Amino acid sequence: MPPRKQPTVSELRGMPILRQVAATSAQVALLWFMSWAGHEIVTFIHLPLPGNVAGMLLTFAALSSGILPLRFVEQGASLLVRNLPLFFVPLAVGFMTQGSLLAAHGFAIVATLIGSAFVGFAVTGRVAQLVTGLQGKAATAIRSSHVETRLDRR
Amino acid sequence: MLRLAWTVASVSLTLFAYHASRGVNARFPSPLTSPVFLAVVGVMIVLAVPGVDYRPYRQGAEPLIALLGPATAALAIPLYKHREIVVAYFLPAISGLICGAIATLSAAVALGVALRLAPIVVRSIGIKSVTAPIALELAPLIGGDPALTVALVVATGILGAMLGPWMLDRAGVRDPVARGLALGTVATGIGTAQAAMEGEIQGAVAGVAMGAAAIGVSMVAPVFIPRLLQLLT
Repeated sequence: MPPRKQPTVSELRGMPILRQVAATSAQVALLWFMSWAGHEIVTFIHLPLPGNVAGMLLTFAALSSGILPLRFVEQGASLLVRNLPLFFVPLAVGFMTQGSLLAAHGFAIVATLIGSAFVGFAVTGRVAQLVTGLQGKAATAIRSSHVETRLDRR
Repeated sequence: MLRLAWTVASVSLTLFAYHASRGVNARFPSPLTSPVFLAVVGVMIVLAVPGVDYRPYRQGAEPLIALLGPATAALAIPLYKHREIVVAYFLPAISGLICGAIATLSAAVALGVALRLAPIVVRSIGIKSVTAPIALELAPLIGGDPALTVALVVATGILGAMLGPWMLDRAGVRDPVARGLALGTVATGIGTAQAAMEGEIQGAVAGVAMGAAAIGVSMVAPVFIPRLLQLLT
């Protein structure tokens, strides 16, 4: 008998619904463990880094090093990422306790958000474009010098 | 027993509001009908009309909040899957990201100070371009308010998705990778959804940019924001 291999995402789709729920829950539990480990590490070595970020970096490192195969978490991760907004709805609702702030400073807050967004868009986009251009020029220069040497050899 | 009732009520209310908002957004796709925005307003109305306090609702919704950690860890998966894009555009992406994230953070703090916002608001507004699950944890580290920060992140996402494409045109940003990068860096999750509507490359780049900017700003903000405030006030 061949060894049983782990189900991939497409195989999961064909599985009975209960097994699918169980598999996805197990994957969410695994991600929960990664996040918990991230929080523990940050508290333990007093890093000024959010525990959630540590959990994300830890998961990325585990995937990259091959310790954690993608198929062990893919299904659960996809469910969580697609519904990410759901999990911070209860926190954003907390803004209702700050109605007076919005009433008093709503205009200044919106102006700050719009102004800083424009600065962010322009700087991010222009700098990325500039560097892409410089890189393109460098690449063309390297490529043409290669062509020249090849022609010389002939 | 009462606690259990609150949990069931709060979780169901949130799930229902979220599900209904997604329905509305599918019917009328626009940044204004973004599911987070509609769901938050919906829950607020349901709580405010009978005069229910926020605290018991929040305690009841704890199971949903507890999933934020694993959901953030799950963001590593798209980052890992699209690592070839990250490698191919590493230099332009990392330069744009660092400059843009610092520029938008500094502009927000400077404008906030100039418009005489309270210090806690200025600190919270400084990290409005960090994805919500991370901003929420970062807020206490820099002296901001978590709930206010999350609301500002959502507002930035909606404004950024609405005005972003137009602002990028104004700023002369035409390269698809640069546009995706800017939308993810500045307008996080809702911006990423908007970028994905512009194209597949834009969407993937935006998702990666959102994660990378959050990591970078988390490392820098606890030192940078207090110094900047000292300088400005």
